[in-house]
Amino acid sequence: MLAQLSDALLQGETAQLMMLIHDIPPTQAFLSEQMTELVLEFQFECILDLIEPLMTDNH
Amino acid sequence: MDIHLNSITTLKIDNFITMTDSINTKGTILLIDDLPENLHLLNNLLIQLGYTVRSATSGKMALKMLSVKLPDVILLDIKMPDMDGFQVCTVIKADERLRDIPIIFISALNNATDKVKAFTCGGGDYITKPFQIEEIVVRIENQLLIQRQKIALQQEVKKRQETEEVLYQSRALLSNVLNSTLDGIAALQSVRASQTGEIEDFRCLVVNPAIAQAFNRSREELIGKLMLKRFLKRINPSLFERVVAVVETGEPLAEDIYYPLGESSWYHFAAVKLGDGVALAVRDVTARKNMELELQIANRELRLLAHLDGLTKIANRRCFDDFLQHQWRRLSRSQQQLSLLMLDVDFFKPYNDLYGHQRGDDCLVDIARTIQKIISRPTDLIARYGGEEFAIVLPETHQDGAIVIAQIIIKAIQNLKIPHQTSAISHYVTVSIGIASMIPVLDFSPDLLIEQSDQALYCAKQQGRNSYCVQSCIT
Repeated sequence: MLAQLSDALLQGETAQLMMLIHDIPPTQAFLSEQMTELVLEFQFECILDLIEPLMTDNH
Repeated sequence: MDIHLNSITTLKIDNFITMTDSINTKGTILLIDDLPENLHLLNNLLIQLGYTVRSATSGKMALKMLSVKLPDVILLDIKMPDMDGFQVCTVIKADERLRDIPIIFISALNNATDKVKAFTCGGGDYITKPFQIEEIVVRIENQLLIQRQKIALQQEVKKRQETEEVLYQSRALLSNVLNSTLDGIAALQSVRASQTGEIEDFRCLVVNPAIAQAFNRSREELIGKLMLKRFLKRINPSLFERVVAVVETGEPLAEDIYYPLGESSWYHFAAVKLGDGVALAVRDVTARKNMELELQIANRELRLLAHLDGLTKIANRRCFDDFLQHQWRRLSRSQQQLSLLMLDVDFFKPYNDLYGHQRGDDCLVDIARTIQKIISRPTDLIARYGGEEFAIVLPETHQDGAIVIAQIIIKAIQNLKIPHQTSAISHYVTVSIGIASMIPVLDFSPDLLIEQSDQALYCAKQQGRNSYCVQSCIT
């Protein structure tokens, strides 16, 4: 999921990112909203910076 | 942006999904602008027009994105924090992998210095804000078109280079073949008289080293020169006209020509039409020609040998058979007499026993020579039939004529006075002759004539030898 998100962020296509957000379960509504807000503001770099440490942790 | 996000999210998502599904063919555009509202505007407009749009809010992020996937065009804002548009452009243009992506600058800056700077750092176009979307689209399409043409051109150039390489290779191969072949090869162009259009001479277009060597000139001296006429006339006065005929009729020419030059004297000369001119191939065939000539001589000797008797040098049995057969047919057609004399040396075995085979051979040679002197008509034939037997064919000769010849021969042999101590009838060598004459009949073979003359010969022997007998005495 994170890898997919990272890929989509680097592609920089809003539509693709919106689809990923669409897949976030309704229980995580807050995350979904925050993400949408950031995506619509084209803050891809910001999200990327946030998830990059998580991804290296996974490794 | 003060929009209530929740309410529009779903709608926007659906919108995006349908759009990305239906398009993706017009081209991918990377937007780089630090202001989200600017991105928003262009992003939506361009997506609606069918482009795939990627967005970045900083040069740093844009470069990260470029490392993943290449867009077709970049729309780049100049005024950005950290890294401005010129810097981003410079980095992109310095990157081998990225430098071909066209960059369109978008800026509120509207002075010439900035525009010049934009173009010198590698920008492809410059749009001033505020802009009309139509202008953006036209400029994007321009860049896409230039890009497509550039790619097509590169492919074309590549294809041409490949073709050129193939051409070069085949030309190199051809010239290698031309240069290394031992045959002289030349291509010549007709030089025609301006008035009549007739071929006056030929101009050398291509000559290979072998032909240059034959002329004892360098290739450079020959190429472009009119020299064939003079050269061919020297070899053979009609050769030039025949080469002209090759061009005029298209019929190739091939023949051996004699032209002594150094150690070589025979050349095989071939000319074929080539455009308005000829291709010449000249091969030194001196060795082959000499061999052919030797063979011809050897053949003539062999043919002679095949028909000559080795000892007496008169016709042999085989020649006799052919000749008799031929005369038999010929005279049966013209219904003329054919006479055959069969001659045998009397007591030849005792002669051999006493004097030895060497003297026996000498005796036969003397007899053959003597008869040959008597048989003077070119149509007559004297042959060694076998051992000490001779056959004399007399075409168009009646029995009477044959008898005269037989008498002369018997007398002549007597006059030779070859001593023969063991002869029962004389001190000298004598001969007996059987004569047969008839008009040949095609239904029978000439063996009939041989048989009859043989019987006549037997008859002559019975009569006491040293005489002749004619076929009538048998019947």
